[in-house]
Amino acid sequence: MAARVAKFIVLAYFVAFSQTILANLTSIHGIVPDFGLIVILLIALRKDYLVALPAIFMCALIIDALTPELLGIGTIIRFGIGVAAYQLRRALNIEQLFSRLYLIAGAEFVHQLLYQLVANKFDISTVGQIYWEVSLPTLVYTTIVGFAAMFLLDLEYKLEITKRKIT
Amino acid sequence: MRWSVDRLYRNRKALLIISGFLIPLLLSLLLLPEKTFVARVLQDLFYSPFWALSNKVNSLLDVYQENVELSKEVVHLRYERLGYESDLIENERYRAMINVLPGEQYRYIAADVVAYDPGRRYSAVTIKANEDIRRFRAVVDENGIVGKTSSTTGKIANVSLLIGPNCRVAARDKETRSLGIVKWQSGRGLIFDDVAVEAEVAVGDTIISSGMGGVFPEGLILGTITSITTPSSAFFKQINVDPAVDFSSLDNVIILEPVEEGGP
Repeated sequence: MAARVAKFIVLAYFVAFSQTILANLTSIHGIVPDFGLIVILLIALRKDYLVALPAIFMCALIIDALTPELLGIGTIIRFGIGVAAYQLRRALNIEQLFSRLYLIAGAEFVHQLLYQLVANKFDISTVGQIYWEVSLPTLVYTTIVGFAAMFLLDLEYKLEITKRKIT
Repeated sequence: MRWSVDRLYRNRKALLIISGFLIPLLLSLLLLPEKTFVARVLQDLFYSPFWALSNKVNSLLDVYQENVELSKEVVHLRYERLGYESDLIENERYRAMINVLPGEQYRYIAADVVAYDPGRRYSAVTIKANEDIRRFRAVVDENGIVGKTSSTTGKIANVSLLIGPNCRVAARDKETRSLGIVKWQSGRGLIFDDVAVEAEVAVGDTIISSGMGGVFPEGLILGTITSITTPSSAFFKQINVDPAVDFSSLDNVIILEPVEEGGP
């Protein structure tokens, strides 16, 4: 139990770290990968629901704390995406390269669209402009970073399995 | 009661999902000050350590960047100061030269010594000015006569130094007005020649140019008499002269260009 709590605390601080220092370090012309969403997707794809759902909720809430005006809305969107990814993970063949790409890109697309719509009070022209200038580059950047992260984690997982087989 | 707990336990996934949507929904219904309060609590709890760290790192990076810029500026200013100091020294030297030089009949052309003639070290140097230099012009520094221009190519000229075989200067003893010629003689050094045995000269007298010969104007210092010998059967005294100019550290010189009538 204590180990699980510790993992949650580490995860919470990692999310905060990714939203502050990591975001600053990886920013390209103001475009930052959505590390929060990547973490949520990784949790949704790799963990059991008893861990995944509270973890996704916690991550979504911590990320949402950066925008007090939209507190709650962002959490709902991110939690919804996380739950959808969790529910779809059996339907998706996530071993496939393109499945992961589609999943990250699709999740970020939906997230950006919903979030911008709410943030801009459903003003379609403003949302369209922001989507073109900010959201699309963010989507591309997030997809690349997210795919790389998933690839590396899978590599680590495969190495571990190989080690076990050898021993 | 037990039935309810069992039912909840069996549907815990749905419960988690419902809670995950319900809690943020309730949060979104709060007023802005309350939302800000909740957000601030979360920020203080999770973000403040990273913001503090980020601020520290940024300020360190700023200090580092500032340090780099300041170091560059220090190097730049140091070079600039060296340049100014060099200019100041040059300026003082030229000022000193102007004070001892003849005024109206000559125009001064400032020049720098750019090379010693490798084959004839201490007998010729190369100088460079900002305007064309002509042949057979007197070259002086603040101490006295350096030599004369022997060959020129535009703004560059070779100068035959006073302590070389190609430069002779009509001279006189500043105190007694005795005339002679200052020249370099191999084995003896700089001498004040053609001074009659009966002429009155003394060790320590200053030798200046007499103005005869046309190249060197009158009154420029050549050197000081260091020794005088009078051979019994000779017509002239043997007088050695210590040159006024330090030929081992020539740097800035002035070329005396005679002002032609109707000219500049």
